[in-house]
Amino acid sequence: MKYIQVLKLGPILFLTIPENLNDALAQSLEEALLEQQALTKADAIVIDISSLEIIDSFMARVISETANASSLMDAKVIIVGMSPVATITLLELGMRMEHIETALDLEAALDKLGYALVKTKKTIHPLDSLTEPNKK
Amino acid sequence: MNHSTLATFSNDFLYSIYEQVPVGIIITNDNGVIEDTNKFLCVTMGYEKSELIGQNVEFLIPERFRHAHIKLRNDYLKQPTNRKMGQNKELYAIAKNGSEVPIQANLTTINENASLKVIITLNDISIKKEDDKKLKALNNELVEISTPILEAWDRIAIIPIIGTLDTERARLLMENTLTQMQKERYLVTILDITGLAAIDTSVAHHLLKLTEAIRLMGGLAIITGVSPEIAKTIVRLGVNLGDLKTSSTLSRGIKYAIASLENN
Repeated sequence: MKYIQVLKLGPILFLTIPENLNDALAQSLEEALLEQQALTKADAIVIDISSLEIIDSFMARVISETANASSLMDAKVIIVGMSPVATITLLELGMRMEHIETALDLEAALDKLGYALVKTKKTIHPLDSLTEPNKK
Repeated sequence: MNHSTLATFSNDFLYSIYEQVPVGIIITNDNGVIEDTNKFLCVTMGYEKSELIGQNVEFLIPERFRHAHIKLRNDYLKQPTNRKMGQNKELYAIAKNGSEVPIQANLTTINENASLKVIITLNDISIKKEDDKKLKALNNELVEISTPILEAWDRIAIIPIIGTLDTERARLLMENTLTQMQKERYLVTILDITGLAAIDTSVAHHLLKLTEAIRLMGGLAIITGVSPEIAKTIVRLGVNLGDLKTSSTLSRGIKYAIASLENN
């Protein structure tokens, strides 16, 4: 059974860290991501850790190692959604993750990567089609 | 007062002092049985002297502490010294009306007629306790009003840091800042230190830790209000600010913050 889902959107890969991260899962997390990265030749990786309420030194190491490995394979890595408690814990553990880029949320991460959501087609609400002809 | 003067006091006078000195006094034997108390203790606690004499000293102690007290009392008699009772512990005595009075107690021993007497002096500290409580509440309030988080612009927060920044306040500041940042999704947080009393290595360390935390959460931290005095101190202390953006005035910090949002 596959727990780790790596989503691809254009040149970006999205990885969400599951809440119940254990040793085995952490291992498959790194593998799944690097495999996908090699396969898709992604330019950027966004790792969402907002499901982690707290973070310990093991999780911190897994995340930073995964990010470093991805960087070595020439992708820009951004960590998003670090909670206040996790942040304070990380600092208390002395893990400063200096070389890792972070963003407040997915939107901010896309912004940092130079992407923005642009609406190209006008979407019509089902109810609008009923009222619009009358207006005209 | 020299010794010869004291010797001229009558026994009645000395006894009056014992009875009326504004400190509660309890005398027990080495089994913890109360042999006498002074009048002041009886009046303040609401007892008659006859109610106390002959009781175990545990009679005056809240039930939840009684068992432990018997052991402590026996340990004390193995090595009797002049000391405070219950170092760093909160002590209570039970008054006649059943209420618990916070007290401070001191212990000493005197040999009288070849038997050891334990002298316990009690001070009612409920007023001090009340004052401590008020002081703490006031302190908390001060901390709260002294570190407001202001929204200056869309997704830009300003935190003026005023006065001193000790460990406790730095911890609170960090918690508030990060929680608010997550809630309001601030992209840029400006820490204005114009009102900072003084900077030393520990204050600089707290500030750096805070900027580090803001960065880890994905925000941008800017320190503004760096006075010539503070700039000189930071350089002299050899504090490495890394690539942290700093500026002398708040207005320049805000300009920089807005520019950094537009560039993205």
